[in-house]
Amino acid sequence: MGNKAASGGRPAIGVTYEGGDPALLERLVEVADYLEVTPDFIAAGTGDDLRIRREILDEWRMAAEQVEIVAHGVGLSIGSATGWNEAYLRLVDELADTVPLRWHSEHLGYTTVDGEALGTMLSLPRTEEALELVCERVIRLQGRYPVPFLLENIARMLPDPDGDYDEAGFLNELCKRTGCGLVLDVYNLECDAHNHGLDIDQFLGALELGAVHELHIAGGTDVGGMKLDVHSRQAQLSTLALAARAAAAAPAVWGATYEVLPEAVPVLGHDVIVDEVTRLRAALS
Amino acid sequence: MSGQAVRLAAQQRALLALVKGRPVPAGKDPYIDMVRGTRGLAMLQMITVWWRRFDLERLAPLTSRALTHEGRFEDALTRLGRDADTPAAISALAMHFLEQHAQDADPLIAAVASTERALTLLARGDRSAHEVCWDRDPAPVLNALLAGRQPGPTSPGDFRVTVSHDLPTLIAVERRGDLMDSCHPVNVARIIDP
Repeated sequence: MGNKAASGGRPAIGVTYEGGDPALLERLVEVADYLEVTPDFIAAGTGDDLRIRREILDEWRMAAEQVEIVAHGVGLSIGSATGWNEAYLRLVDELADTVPLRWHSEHLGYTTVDGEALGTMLSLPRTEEALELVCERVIRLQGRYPVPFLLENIARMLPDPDGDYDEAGFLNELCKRTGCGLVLDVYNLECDAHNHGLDIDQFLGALELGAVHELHIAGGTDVGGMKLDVHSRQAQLSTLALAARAAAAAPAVWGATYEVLPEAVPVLGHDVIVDEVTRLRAALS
Repeated sequence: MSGQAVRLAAQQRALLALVKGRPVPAGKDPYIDMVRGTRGLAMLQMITVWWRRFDLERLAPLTSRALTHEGRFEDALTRLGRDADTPAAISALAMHFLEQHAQDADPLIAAVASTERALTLLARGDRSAHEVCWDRDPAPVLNALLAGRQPGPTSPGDFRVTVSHDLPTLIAVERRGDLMDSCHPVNVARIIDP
């Protein structure tokens, strides 16, 4: 993958980039193998009439000549019982028509209820009911886009409801029924361990790691005794070490992505973001 | 909706109500009763305000700053969280926020939001000209907000701001028919190219 992809089966290294910052882009394409873009971050319009800004599409098309592009959404709301977000899918259609995508991913959660925005993302109960709902939608997505589709474990803020599966069992069954892959966000695992006592070793031991095709690495913050997944900081050493463990144990990791919020870019600065990409590559080499 | 997701839908509706701080009857779902008093719920409610703050400070900086200087930004964020018609998409959220405050009872906030709405439309490719009435000289206000400073006292009067791709500086300020853009330039480059 990409002209800077590491050899010897090591994952390619990616970084989030939302467009509109040519100076950052120029540096990122020098150090990263792919860019992770989020269509809903740079859409324009209102309601159902959302479109990706043309100048950003042009920028991504140019970038695609140097690095690969993967799409990572936040707004599909694949787990909303009353319906997912069709407007988001039209953004992905627009993106996929313009830029060659290596893969497409979303979060295993929901952001809207009856079309009303939660203002955040919530995780799903690990029930058969929720599993059937998501599986049906994953299969529809796989028919719609000719690239692999991956789902990401999100950090849980609320206590775990009773379910039919444990953490790993739910993901294993989802992948088995649909053939979709997983984005394993290792920082989210650290959040769940800190906030809810998730046993990461037990989780990784039970997870079918062959389905893990991408790792997410980020840095967040601790507030009120809880670890928050806000992608605003550099990755901690523990996060990089966990990513390295997961990459070594999972046989088919295509990429590892350092995630940073657009709002955090001016705070961290270009040098730090570039250094984080380099640190991640070193940690996984 | 999937016919098999009825319980899930009921739980998600109850969680939406909890996150939004709306009343949720007790005793219907033990899980909802358990979530009600948790630290995680309180944190989620706080985080939703954070996300909206981050998004609006980035996508609607002039109006966010003007409301902050008036001591009203927190209330505006809370209102967005409470309202059922607040859009989910980030870009739509910013336009919704600007349209809300373009109707603000405070003429300064209304003028700033209307001007920023016009600039945002321009940045998104809108080719039409937009005119916004001000009851004071807009240039010192907009320049202070662009610099992150609190606007000082400005000359009262009937001013008109025009925002258009056809203007060399994209924005022009007029008073009683006298074009003043060359006297009081407003550099909006950072706003239209966020």
